[in-house]
Amino acid sequence: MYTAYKLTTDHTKIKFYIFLLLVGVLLLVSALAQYIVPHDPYLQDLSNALQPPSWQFPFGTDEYGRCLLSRVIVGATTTVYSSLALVLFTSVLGSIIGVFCGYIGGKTDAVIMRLSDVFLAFPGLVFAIAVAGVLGGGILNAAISLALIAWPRFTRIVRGQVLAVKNMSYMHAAKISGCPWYKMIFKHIMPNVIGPVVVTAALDIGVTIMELAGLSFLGLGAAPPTAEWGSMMSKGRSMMQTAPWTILFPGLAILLTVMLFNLFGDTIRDMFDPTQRRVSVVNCFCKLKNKVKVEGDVNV
Amino acid sequence: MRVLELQEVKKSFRKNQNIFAAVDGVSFHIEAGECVGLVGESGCGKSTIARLITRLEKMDSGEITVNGKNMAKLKGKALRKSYQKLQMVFQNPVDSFNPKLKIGSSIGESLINFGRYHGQVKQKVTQLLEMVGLKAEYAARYPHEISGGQCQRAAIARAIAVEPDLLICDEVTSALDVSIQAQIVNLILKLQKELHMSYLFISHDLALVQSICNRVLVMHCGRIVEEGTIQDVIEHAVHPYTQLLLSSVFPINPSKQWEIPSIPQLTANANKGEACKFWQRCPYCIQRCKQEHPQLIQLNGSHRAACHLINASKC
Repeated sequence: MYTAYKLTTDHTKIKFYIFLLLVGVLLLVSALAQYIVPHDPYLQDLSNALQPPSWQFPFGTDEYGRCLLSRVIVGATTTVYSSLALVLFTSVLGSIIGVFCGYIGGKTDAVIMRLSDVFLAFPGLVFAIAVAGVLGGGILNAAISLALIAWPRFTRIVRGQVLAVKNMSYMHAAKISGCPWYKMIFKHIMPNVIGPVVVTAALDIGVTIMELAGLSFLGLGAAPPTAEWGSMMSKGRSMMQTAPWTILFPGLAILLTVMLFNLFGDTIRDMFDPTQRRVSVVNCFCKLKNKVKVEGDVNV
Repeated sequence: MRVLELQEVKKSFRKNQNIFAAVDGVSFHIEAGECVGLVGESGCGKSTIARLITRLEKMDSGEITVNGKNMAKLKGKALRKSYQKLQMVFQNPVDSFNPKLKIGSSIGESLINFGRYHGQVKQKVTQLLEMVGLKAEYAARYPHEISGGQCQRAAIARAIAVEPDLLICDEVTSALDVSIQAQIVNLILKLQKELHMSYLFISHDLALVQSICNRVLVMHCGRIVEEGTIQDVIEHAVHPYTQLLLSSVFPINPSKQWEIPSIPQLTANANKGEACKFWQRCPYCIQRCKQEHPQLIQLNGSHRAACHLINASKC
């Protein structure tokens, strides 16, 4: 039994390093996008409009003759970094609110929690559309509207954790050791509640990329001519039958990136909390292999 | 000088519509250098008293004075400073350490917070660990990396770091096995000789209290039913509850065929009304016990007990 546990843990670690490497590559590509693109992503060349994928343009060109590969690469910068910044911002802000709610309790807590209930009750994207509609288009406004609906998730998780930690006897011991309130929060509460926040944030990156791309697709995110996967798909939609590559490649980029971040988040979750590990195909196989091995040993 | 004094302290907890009096008018005091034991069954309010004294819980009424200062009136910074004179060791040793901090930094925390031993906190922590019989290298370990007994030693080191006048030990040995219990008891006795602290030693183990304390308080359902020196209470127990507690200690020599009486379970409504809270479980219950609850009656010296039978038998 012990070996089985150890084996799966090793697998989680290997998985974690593989996904970390892939995420690193993605971030590196996004950071260096301007230098590694084969063509200028904004250069219009109408003589090459709507070319199918070829050696010169591996992903083909759009209706203005811009290289789609270059635009997909540059689009990664916009999408990935704005999503990361957004998730970082909401998780930090949401956690701080959650810690204070849990620690202070009472009326402040009740009011903020009801407020978060209200935000959670809205269908996310609909609310974001409404806010983006009021504030106008642009990637920053889209991010603001998504931040407004994302914080309650973190607040609720952190608050629950704080309530659980607050009555542990090491909190009493810290109080008797003469810790002022800021030490109680940052030294004793924060380190013990941060695990689930990291996991939720990692899982949230994929969702946020989807939502940002979704808002851009609806024309409420990045404004043209900025290269962004959602708006590129939106443009390509009208030419789906005559030039399917214009929608295919940005779509594939979104699919792969979201998948990567989701799997990465799953792996982080497995590392932080082995008890809630999802049964994956790899783990099942490992257990099965180990079981066979153990049974074999018994027979011998 | 009195290090600790409690006067008519009351605390009740509310659950839905039911009010449960956890501590119901408790008064006692601890002199400087004295070691007082507080015994009683689970749920009788022992730990609540510890939490009330350390202000982890707010009392409903009454007065608690530590070193002449009224604890209820202290706030903020003054309350934090009062913990220099008052420390506590908790029941579960591993739980009482922050799992994300090393033992050394948990022990040194109070020194830093109270500004003691500036720049020499590390040396002091090493010295404290040696005092409780732990190697200096344990300072760099995490709580889950050391055993329960070692953790409890570290917890004691943390509590004595600021050299308090009063140390509250809340069932410090109940989470440990018997051989480790003896080590901890010896450590407490040794520290008492070296540091001249006062102790409030909370336990449900009468034998343990006997080996440590000068004076003992027996608690039942939020009230003190008997108090006195160890000799008085152990050898001349007057209250039927104390007698039951004493006779339910397991014999060391089982071949003696001793009959161990089990104390009847506490019934649900024992807490209500004016009756003595022990009458439903008391083998000597008389009519008067069901009508009024007994006050503490002086027997001889400091020996006091709360039972109607004392008068009935003596008069």
